[in-house]
Parts: sequence; C-alpha cells; structure tokens
Amino acid sequence: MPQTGYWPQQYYTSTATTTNYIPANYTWSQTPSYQTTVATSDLAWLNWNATSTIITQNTYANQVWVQWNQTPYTPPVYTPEQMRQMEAQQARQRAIYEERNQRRSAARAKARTLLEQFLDDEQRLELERHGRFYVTGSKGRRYCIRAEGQSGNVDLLKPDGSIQARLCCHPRQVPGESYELLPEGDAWLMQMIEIRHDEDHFLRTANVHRGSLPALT
Amino acid sequence: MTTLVAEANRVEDWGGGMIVVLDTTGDTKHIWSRDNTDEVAEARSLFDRMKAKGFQAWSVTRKGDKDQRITEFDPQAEKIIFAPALQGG
Repeated sequence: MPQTGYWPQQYYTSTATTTNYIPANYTWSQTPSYQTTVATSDLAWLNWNATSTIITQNTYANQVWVQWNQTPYTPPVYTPEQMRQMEAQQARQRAIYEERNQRRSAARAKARTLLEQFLDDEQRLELERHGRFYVTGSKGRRYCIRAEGQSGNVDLLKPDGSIQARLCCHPRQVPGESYELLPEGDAWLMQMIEIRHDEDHFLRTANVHRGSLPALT
Repeated sequence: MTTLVAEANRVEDWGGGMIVVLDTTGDTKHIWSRDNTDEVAEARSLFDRMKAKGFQAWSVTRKGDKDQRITEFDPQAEKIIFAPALQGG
C-alpha cells in the first residue's frame, strides 16, 4: 500500500488494526474507482467511513458534512444606517483602546521614575545602558533584574556571573476594581525590595524557568 | 494628609512620612507630618484600608538598609510602599 499521497485511515477492532488509504487528491465530490453509487457532495465523507468491511459504521457519522452542504452561506446585507452604527462602534472601541494605551504608557513612565529613586547610580546607569540592573540579596546572592516584562525576568547568578536559574516572581494583579498587573517599573521595584529583604522567601515563591535553586535554609 | 502630585522624595527632611500605593496608574503618594495627629490618624486609616484590600506593606528606605515587611502602621516610618503580594509566574 502506498505511503505518500494518501490519507491513512485506520480501523480498530478487538483483534487487529487495519489501515486503508484514501487518495489525498480526491475532492469531496469525486467518485473513487471502487465506489459505484451516484456521486454526491458528501461522497468522500461516506467513503471515509465506509471503505472497510470490518468496521461497524456509525450511520450518522456523515451528518455534519451533509448539513454543512445544506446550509449555504449568505453574506449579510447592511443598511446605510447599520453601517453608520458599526463605524461609530468601531470608532468608540478605537478611542477606548487609545485611551488605555496612553494611560498605561503614563503609568509605565511614572513607575520607572519611582524605581529610579530607589536605585543607586551604578544600577541606574546599568538600567539605562543595558536594560537591567543587579541586586544583592539578603543572603549575599547576586541577581540580575532584566527590564523585559515582569515574568521570568529575574536571573539568580553564580559567583562567576553566569546564570544559575531563571526565575519568575512578580506582584499579583492589583486588588480592587481593575485587577490589572502593575506597570513593569513597579514590579521590578518590588522584586528588588523582596530580594534584598528576604531572598529565601523570593526564591521559595518563584517559579524556576531554567536551571535550579540552591539549598534554602 | 495630602495626596502629592509632584514628587516628594526627601520626606525625612521635613519630619514626615509617605505612603506610596502601587497601582495601575503607577503609584499614588500620601504624606503625613509626624507632629500632626490628624494626619497621622488619616495615614493609619489608609494603612488599614490598604491592608484590608489585600496589599502588602513594606517600610523602606532609599538605601535599602532598613527594608522590612510590616503589618502595623508605624508613624515614624520614612516611606511605606503598598503593593500586591508576589506570586510565582
């Protein structure tokens, strides 16, 4: 039986598995050579379900295909008034989207300003030049907080500076009305505060995306 | 108590404290003067409200040498940051 250019169709019984091959170039209305009944649009589907003598066929298996062909697609026709309403709705959605983008952009800038107030000169320079800054934890381990979102953006470093583990630990959604995430700068600030205050708690809370954690006390 | 529009970073210079609530707008700042009992009471009330909402409080300094997680309002605190608790992602 050929292996390419055919759809493998497998039948399972309690004693054997049989593979039948349906030519891949059959269209749905084409009559296969071994089918003698009148070609209809669902013939390929019938064929798919009926070309074995050892299967107990579900006689309703082709109903989806039959119904698909019995329900022709009719494109909707809108009146000028309906078109105006849809355009107005789209404009409202665009305005909401743009307003939200502006608000998030302003929030990100504000969060970045707050973060920089807590960074020393070296950290601030590193953030500005390389989009990351380094933090020493309460137990003396070194971390790199990368300014790349707030998920999986913290690296626990080995003494030689290479990455021991990539960590994901960030503030939950803001409780209250919005349940949005904090802007990134705020998240980086909280990651830094937690690391330098209680890095073991940070490590226990974090999910490890790569590498492994040291033994925690 | 005053909600600041401008930044007020050197609160230690005037004998006051600041609560910074991290939220979706970035943050909202509230300051109090340690000698003003009304402002201290208002700051304490805000502290309790934020705790009830599920925020965690950190007493922090810019240098980071006195960071600590707190559960009670401390009128002598330099800066208190409220933020949602961390979670693994």
